[in-house]
Amino acid sequence: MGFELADVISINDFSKSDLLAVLAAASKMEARTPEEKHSLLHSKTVATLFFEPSTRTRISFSTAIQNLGAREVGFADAKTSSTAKGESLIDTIRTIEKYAQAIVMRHPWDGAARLAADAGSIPIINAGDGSNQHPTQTLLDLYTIQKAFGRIDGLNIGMSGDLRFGRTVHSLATALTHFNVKQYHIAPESLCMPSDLKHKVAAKNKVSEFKTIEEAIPELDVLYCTRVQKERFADAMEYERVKDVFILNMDTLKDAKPTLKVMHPLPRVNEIAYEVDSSPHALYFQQLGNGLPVREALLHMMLAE
Amino acid sequence: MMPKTVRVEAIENGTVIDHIPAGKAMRAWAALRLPDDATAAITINVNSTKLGRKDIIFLTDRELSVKDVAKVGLVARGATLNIVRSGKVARKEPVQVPREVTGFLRCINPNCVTNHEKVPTRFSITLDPQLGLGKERVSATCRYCERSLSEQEFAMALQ
Repeated sequence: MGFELADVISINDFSKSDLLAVLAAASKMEARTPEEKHSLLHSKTVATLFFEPSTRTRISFSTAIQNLGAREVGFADAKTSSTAKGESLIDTIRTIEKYAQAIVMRHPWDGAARLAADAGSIPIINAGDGSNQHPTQTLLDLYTIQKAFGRIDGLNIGMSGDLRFGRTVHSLATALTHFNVKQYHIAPESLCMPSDLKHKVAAKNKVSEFKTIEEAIPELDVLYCTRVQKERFADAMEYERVKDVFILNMDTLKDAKPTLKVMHPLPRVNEIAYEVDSSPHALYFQQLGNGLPVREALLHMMLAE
Repeated sequence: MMPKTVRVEAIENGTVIDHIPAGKAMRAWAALRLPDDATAAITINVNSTKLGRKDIIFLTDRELSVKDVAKVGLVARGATLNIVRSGKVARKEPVQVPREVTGFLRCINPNCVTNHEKVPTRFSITLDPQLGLGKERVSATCRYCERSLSEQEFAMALQ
């Protein structure tokens, strides 16, 4: 049993053994010297196709490709590609696969990565397809939890903020169903987890729902915060009522376990006060950094002979 | 005057799709995607001992297979396929719900890649067994954007 996926498109495609294989490979990757890493994908070419702008994900993938000694080709802006001339996504993929052994792509349309995988014959890594999936974010989230606690099983994991539209929390909640965890869903009424997903998660994990972070915080090992966005509310009054409830500061954290770790997919706007950054609870910048070994591990697994 | 009950054997040769839930015949007819010259009679709201009221499609001189009518299973659950030969029912089978449909439903997510690229849609069909046999909730999940359509949304999504 190990990693059996030909492409990394959706967290829904991952079995538990696929997930564990990625976590183990990322951990192994972190133990390698820069020289060792640099020889892993020597003479390989990876195309990075960013049909939609991205800073953190693109830089993380580019660094991973370079660290492994592979060449990177591609574009960071679709305006500089043939897409601007009206070329179809399928034709773009069929062209690029003549030059590269794998494609990392971000695209504004939901499902674009799956279509690319259907169209091409080389591995596709989805770096975000519209509002649908961003599987490497979820993998780095799991790796962050595993690294901080030495395990995922047995933890109480809270997710707060926009659980209705938040892509990262949907994927994380789904991925966690492969583990023996308790999930705490913390959101205002209008932004709670979609019911079909809630049922799917509750079939595997114990799930508790809360309206405020304070109610849930004493039990949590991990709090995964997301932003409550004003544009998601049909009723401006409701946004005004709930906006401050989902801002995490040292006062909110006063009843937390000393070992509680706070995660966030970043970028944050105001949902975590800066005072939390220097507390032992803050894990979000390490989380961001964990994207690199996870992406290196994935590229290596999918491209090594 | 239209009779309140209609027998399946009302045609000599062909296919009869019986036990279509009342009011769903036109949707089922659209789902069949038959050629323009297909001859058929559709009865609506006739008496049924099983359903109370039902619709029936009588298709003359054309035999359809279970596969041909699978899409009907999506829009008219519980229908029955009858093949009639020389005025007698030669074969009778329940209409199955397909496991996957290609190019049949349109994805209702405007941001789905299938609404932007020239590619046939593909949906996998799942039955939620919660409600018990025959009453399972059907949903269709887009292979690409992973959005699930409920049974109520199928009508909107029929291409």
